[in-house]
Amino acid sequence: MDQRKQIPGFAIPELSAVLGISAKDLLSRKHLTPTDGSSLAPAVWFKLRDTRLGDSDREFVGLVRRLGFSMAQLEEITNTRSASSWDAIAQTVSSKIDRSAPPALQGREAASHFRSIANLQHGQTGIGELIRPRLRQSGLVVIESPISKSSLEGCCFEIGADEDKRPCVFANSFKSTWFRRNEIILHEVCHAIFDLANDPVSLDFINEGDSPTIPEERARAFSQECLVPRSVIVHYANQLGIKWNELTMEQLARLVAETHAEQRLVLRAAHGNGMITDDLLARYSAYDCTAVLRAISLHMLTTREYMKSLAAEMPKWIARNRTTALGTRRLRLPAGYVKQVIDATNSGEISIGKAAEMLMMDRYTFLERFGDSVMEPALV
Amino acid sequence: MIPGKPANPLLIIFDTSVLLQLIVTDQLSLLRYLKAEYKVQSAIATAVEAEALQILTTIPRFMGRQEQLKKALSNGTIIRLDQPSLGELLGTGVDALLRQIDSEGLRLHLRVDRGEAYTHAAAGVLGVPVATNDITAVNRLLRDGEDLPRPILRFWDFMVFGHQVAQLDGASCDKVRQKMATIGEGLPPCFTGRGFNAGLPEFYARLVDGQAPMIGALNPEGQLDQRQVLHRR
Repeated sequence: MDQRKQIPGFAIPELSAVLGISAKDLLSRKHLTPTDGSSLAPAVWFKLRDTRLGDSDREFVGLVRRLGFSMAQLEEITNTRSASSWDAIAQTVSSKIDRSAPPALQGREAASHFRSIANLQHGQTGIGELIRPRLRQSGLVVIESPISKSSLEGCCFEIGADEDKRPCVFANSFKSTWFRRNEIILHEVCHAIFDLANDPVSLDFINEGDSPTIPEERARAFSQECLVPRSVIVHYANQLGIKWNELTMEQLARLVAETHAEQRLVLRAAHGNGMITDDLLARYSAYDCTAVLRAISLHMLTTREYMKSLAAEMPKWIARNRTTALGTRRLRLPAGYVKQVIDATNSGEISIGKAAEMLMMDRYTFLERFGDSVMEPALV
Repeated sequence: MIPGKPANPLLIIFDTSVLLQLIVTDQLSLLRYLKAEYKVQSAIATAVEAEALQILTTIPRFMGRQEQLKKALSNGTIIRLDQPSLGELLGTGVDALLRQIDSEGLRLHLRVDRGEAYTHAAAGVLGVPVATNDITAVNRLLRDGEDLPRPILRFWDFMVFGHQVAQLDGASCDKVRQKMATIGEGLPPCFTGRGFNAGLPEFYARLVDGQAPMIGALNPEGQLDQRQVLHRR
């Protein structure tokens, strides 16, 4: 017998979901060493060996996959499984696209179908505020959390056990704006629709430049067309009385605020739709709209400032207390998920200890943070 | 065993909550006393050991006391519910019991946390009492129709038992009460805002010695108020 300690039975299901290794393989005492030198790392972790990723990125993915395990459990407890809805959306969009068409065209067409199927058509107005709730309703896991020492801007990978896999899209919120993340999230959504079946992880890095691959080209066009299709930009240009060759900084800030897309994307859309020339694109790209935008849009506030502005009308835990940690890695949990856990506790579906476990904290921290929102545990 | 005396339970299985309170109030000696005088072995699931050690190293009110748990595990005051310890206690057939505990624990883990799940699973499979303070887990499992062995012992059942068998005087119990209040651990209503001796007549003890004079409330108050009577061996 070898000297390795056996993994305790209670840890197996969770480890299996996080590592992507079956419970059977985890319990196996055989040394699985391939003779040809190939790696036995599960596909997701094999891909995460990318040299541009650091330990913090990998730990973060592990943390999110752990969250996915709890989310699946919560859905099972509350009978609210929704992953199938996402599968249907992704399949419908994907099946309507001609894969031999130019990737940018694929992206634009897919975006048009996606806006309609995912219920993101919202007149001709910006959809930034709808993206997250609509995606989550369809069963996609959306996480925005800061990873400071990382060049990762967004990624997409599968979480959950075999029978309940679902895509998770992640946007790094460190030194990023809400407008920017709208694009990142939709970019990753495109990867979730088209690429996840063949590639277990899609990684997008800050300042990556224009990578000339089909998936990247398609995802870029998809996010642009989802956020600022021609109809939306024309609508706001008319409403704001914009003359494209005399665009002011204030007008550009207003366009950003209304379309919910960052300056660079708005200008790229205007340029792509023939509204501005190369010269105007260069000139308007040099505008610094930050100050004006901060004055007219709450979304330009930092996450902390934004949450603070909501704190008066929402429970305290939404603005604070949502950051959990596993080891040294921290993760800001989605507010909707935290609320579901608290609701399940109050309705007696799970114990306080289970609620704490689902939020990846101990029961003492849970009660300290959410004691006001849940019934205090009485003694037996 | 002395003929005519009902058998004591072989084990009492502790959840994290009671275990941590025994540690933070320095009362693990009561578990040694239970073992020595009544042949009742204290035990924890490995999931509880992991959770307790994590809390003992991270939560300020418990921090720095992990050595107490390690020592109690190494000197046999508390045993882990694993093959070697249970094998020694129960003899053959332990592997099947452990598999059953694992499978039950996995099932219960959907509704209650890991420590709670494996503690109640073990108690159910082995038919021995559980020590836990967490009413939300107990309620959750009872609502699901789980058959939880009774009685369900609380931290204060051990204190009152210690007092009944003269291992703890009233002043020591009150010190424990004050310590618990200071660190923000919940107290039963009868001990909240009043001394131990004042509250004792209202506390229905679920763990008692069959020979020592009875103390505490005479009548049960809640449906979980059932007694485990122990006899010296």
